[in-house]
Amino acid sequence: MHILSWLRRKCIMLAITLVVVTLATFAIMKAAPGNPYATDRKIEPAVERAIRKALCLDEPWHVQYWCYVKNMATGEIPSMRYEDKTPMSVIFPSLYDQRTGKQRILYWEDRTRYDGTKVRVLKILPDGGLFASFVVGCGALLFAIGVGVTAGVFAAKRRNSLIDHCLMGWAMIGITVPNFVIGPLLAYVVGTRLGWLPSSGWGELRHLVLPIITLGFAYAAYFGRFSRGGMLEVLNEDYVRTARAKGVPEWRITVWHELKLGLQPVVTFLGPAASGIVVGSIVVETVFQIPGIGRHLVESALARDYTLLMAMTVLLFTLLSVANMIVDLSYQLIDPRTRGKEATS
Amino acid sequence: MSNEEGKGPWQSIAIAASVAIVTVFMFALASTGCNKRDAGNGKEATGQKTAAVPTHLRFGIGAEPKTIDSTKCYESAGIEVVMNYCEPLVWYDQATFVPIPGAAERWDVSPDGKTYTFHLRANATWWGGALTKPEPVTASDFVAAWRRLLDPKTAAQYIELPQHMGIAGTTQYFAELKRIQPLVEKLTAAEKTGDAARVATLEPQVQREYAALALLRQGLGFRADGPNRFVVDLEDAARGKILMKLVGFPILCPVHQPTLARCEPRDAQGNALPRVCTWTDPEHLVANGPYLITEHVLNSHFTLERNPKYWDAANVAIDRATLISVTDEVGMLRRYESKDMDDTIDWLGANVPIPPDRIDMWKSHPDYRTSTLYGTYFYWFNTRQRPLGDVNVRRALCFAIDRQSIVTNVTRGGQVPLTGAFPPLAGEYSPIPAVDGFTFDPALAQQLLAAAGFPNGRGFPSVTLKYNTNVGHKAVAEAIQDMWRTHLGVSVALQNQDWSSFVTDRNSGNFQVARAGWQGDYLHTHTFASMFPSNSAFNDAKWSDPSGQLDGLVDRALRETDPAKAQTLYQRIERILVAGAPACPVYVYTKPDLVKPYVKGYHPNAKNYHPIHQLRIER
Repeated sequence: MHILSWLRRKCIMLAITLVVVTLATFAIMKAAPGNPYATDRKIEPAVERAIRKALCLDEPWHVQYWCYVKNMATGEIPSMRYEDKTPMSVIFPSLYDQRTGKQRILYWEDRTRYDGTKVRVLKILPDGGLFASFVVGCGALLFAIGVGVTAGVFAAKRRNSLIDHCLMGWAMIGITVPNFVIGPLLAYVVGTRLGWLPSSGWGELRHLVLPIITLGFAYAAYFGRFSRGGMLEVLNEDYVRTARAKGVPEWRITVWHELKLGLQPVVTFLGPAASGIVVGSIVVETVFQIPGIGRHLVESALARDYTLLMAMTVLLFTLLSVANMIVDLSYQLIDPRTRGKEATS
Repeated sequence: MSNEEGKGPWQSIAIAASVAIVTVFMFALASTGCNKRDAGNGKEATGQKTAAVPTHLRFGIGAEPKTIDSTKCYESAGIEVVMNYCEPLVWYDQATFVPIPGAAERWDVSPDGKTYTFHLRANATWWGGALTKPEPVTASDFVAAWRRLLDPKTAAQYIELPQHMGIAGTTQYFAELKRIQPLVEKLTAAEKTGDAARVATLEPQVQREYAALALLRQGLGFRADGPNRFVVDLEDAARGKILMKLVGFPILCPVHQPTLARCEPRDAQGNALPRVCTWTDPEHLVANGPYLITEHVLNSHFTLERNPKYWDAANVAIDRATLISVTDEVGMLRRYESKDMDDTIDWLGANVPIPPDRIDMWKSHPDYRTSTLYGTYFYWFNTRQRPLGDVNVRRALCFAIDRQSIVTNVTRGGQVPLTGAFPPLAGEYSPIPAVDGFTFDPALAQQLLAAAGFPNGRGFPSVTLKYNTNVGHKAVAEAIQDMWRTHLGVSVALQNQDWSSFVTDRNSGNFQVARAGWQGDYLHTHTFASMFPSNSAFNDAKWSDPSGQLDGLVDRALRETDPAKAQTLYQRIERILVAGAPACPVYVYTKPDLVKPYVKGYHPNAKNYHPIHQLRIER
C-alpha cells in the first residue's frame, strides 16, 4: 500500500513537472533567433507566408504552444527538419512495411552478393528511431552489467592476483578513454581493415556488436570497479564466514549472500549509467551511422524544429522519469528498510 | 582482509602488458589485411552462384534530405533521390549537358524562337503505389506540376524557376505576387495579435487576391496541347537556352495528380489541408522514372529498385541502389575502404565531401576524381555599414587576399581561385582575364586603403567577419583575417554562428562582412549576375552601381541571343563588379570524389548530375 500511494504521488508530481518543462522548452526555443525554414537565399515572401501559416508560426504565443503540444498526438504539422514525417513517426517508425504488409521487427531477408553467393540475414528493427536507440542502449547496459559485474566479482574473489590487476587495468582504460575514441578505433580496425563486422550501418544483428561494445565499455568499467568494491566489503562479513563454515557451496555463497548486498553500489549507479548511455548514444549513433533518435536532441535545436523538439523533450522527460522511478522501486524491493520512502528524490 | 595497499608496481605492469599484447595483436591482424567472411550472427553462406547476379550501387547523398517531394525539394541531397524516381522532359549527358530525350521524345522550336513544343512519348507510364495497372504520362501532368510549383500555397522554394526560364506571363505574375504582399502582411499581423475584427475584414480581400492569382496561373505560358504535346511560350528567344538547361531539372518533373490529390487535399480556396499521407512514401509513390523507392529508413538510407514499367527499363543497367544519408563523412570514408563486402560503398557520392584534412591522404588514390562545380565562394560586404560604404576600402580588402595561397594551403581541394565575379562555363562563357580582376596586389591595396583615409590601417573601425560554424569556413576566415592584418594592418574580428542564426542575420543585413556561397541553378551566367542588380532580393550588400549601368546590362545580357555579344556584356558587368566590389570573390567550388573502378558511366561535371540509370557496374 505504501508503494501504491507513493506511486500516485510521484505520478502527479511528474505530470506537473512535465507541463513546466514543456513551457520552459517552448520559451527557450522561441527565444533563439532564426527559424526552421531559413535557407541560403531569401525566400519569396508569399512562400514564406505559406510556410509560416502551415507551421503555426504566426499565431499568438499560447496558440503556438498548444499547437505544438497537440501536434504530438494529431501529427498535423510535420517535423520541420524532416518535412515528410510527423514527429511521432520520426521517434516511433512504423513497425510494419506499409508496402508489403510484413512486419519489420525481426525477420529473415534473402540477399545475393555481387559475387553470386546467396546469404540469409537476420534483420532486427531496421527502421531505427527510438527502437534502435533503445536496443543499443539496453544492449550496452546489459553488456556493462554482465561484463562489468562478472569481472568485478571475479577480481574481488581473487584480489591482488594477476587477474585482478589485469581486469582493473582494463577498467581504468574503459573509464579514461572516451567513447568517441574507442568507437572510430573499433570501427576502423574491426570494420574497415579486418572486415569481421561492418564499420557502420544498421539493420542486422551484426550491426549491433560494435556500437554496444563502444557504448557499454566505459560503464562495464565503472560497474566492474563498483562491484569489486562492493564485494570486497561483504567478503569478510561474519555471516559469510558462517555460511562457509556450515559447508554451503562457494557458488551459492557468492550468489545468495555476497552479491545481494555487494551489488548495492551497482544499483545506485544504474541511474547515472542509464543517463550516460542516453547521452553517449549521440556519439555512437553518429560514428556508426545508426538511425536512432540521439541526434535529434541536438539537431532539432539547431534546425529550430519546434515540433520535433517538443516531442523529444516530452519523450526524454518521460524516459528519465520512468528510469528513476524504476530505480526507486527496485531500491524499495531490495531493501525492506526503505519501503515507502524514497531512495532518490 | 582486503589488501588495497599492496598493489605496488604490479598493477601498472599488468595494465601495460595486457594492453600491449592486445594492441599488437589487433594491429598485426589489421595490417596483414586478413579478410574473413562473416559466418556468425545468423548468416549462412550457401555458396551458390546464379547466372544473373543483381547489380547494386551504393553511394552517399549527403545529410538526410528535408523532403523528396519533387516540386518542393530544395537541397542537393533531396534532388539526388528525386532525379531517380521522376523523369523530366529531358535528361542531360553528364559530360556535355546536351539534352537527351526523356519524357519528351523530341521537341521543336518555332521560327521566332519563343515557342517550344515538347512531344511526349506515348509509352511513358506512371507506376507504383496503389496502381494496379500503369497509367500514361500526359502533358497535363506537366502542366499541373508546374502550376503547383508556381502556387505560393505549395511553399516551394524554387517558385521563381519559371521566371528564370522566361515563361510568358511570369513577370506579370510575380509582380502581382509582390503587389499583394503588404495586404497579406497586414492580415498576418492581425492574426498574430488575435485581432478578430481586422482579420474578418482582411481575410476575404486576401482570398480574392489569391483567387485572381490562381486565375493568372492558368494563363501562363505553358499548356497541354492534347495529351502528348506540352507547349512552352517564352517572353524572349534568348531564354530558350536557359529553358533547355532547366527542363531537365527534377523540380520540373511531372506529378501523379490523383495520388497528390488524395494525399494532400486542398480546400476550395486552395489552402493546404492537413496531410492525409505523404505521396513520396514507398507505399504511395507513383513515379514515371527509372527507379521506385522501396524503402526509406530515416537518417539511414533510401533503397531504390528498377521500375519495371519504365519505358526504357531494358536499358537501365543497375537493378538496385542504396542511397545513404551521411551523418559522418569520415565514417563514409571508412566504409569506402571497408573489406566487408556488404559494408563497402561504390561511390562516395555527389554531395559527400572529403573533409579538408583528409584530402591530401586521398589525392593520390586511383579512385580520386575532382569536378569543378558551377558555384562560387565569396564574402559579401554590407555597404550600409561604416567603413564598408567606401569603395576604396572594399577594393583594398579584396586586393589583399592571396587566393592562390588559400586554395593551395587552406582548402587544398583543387579549387580554382576566382578574381572576377562569374565562374567560367565551358563552351559558353570565359570570364575577364585574371589580371583584370582582384589579383593579389598588397601595394595597390595599401594605396587604396590610404586613399580611403586609413593609411596602414590606422583608425580603421572595428569590423566583424561572420561565417557559419564549419571547420573549412573557419580555416579560410582565419587565413583572410591574417592576410588583412599582415598586408593592410587591419584587424578584423571573426564570429561564427550556427546555420540558422547566420542565415537569418545575413538575410536581414545584420552583418558587416559575411561568408557566402552561390551554386548556379542553371548553366548560364545569369544565375550569378542576377545577384547584383540594385533591386535583386539576393543583393545582400545592398549595393548599387554608381554609374547606374549594371541593372540594365544584366537585363540586356539575359536577352541577348548572340553568344559573342552576351559574352562581351557579361564581361562588362564583371568589370563593373570589380570596380564596385560589393563582394570579394575567393574561389570556384570543386568537389573531390571517390569512385570505384567498376562503376562506369560516371563523368565529373559542374552540377553533380549523375542519374543512376546512366551508370553501370562492370566487375
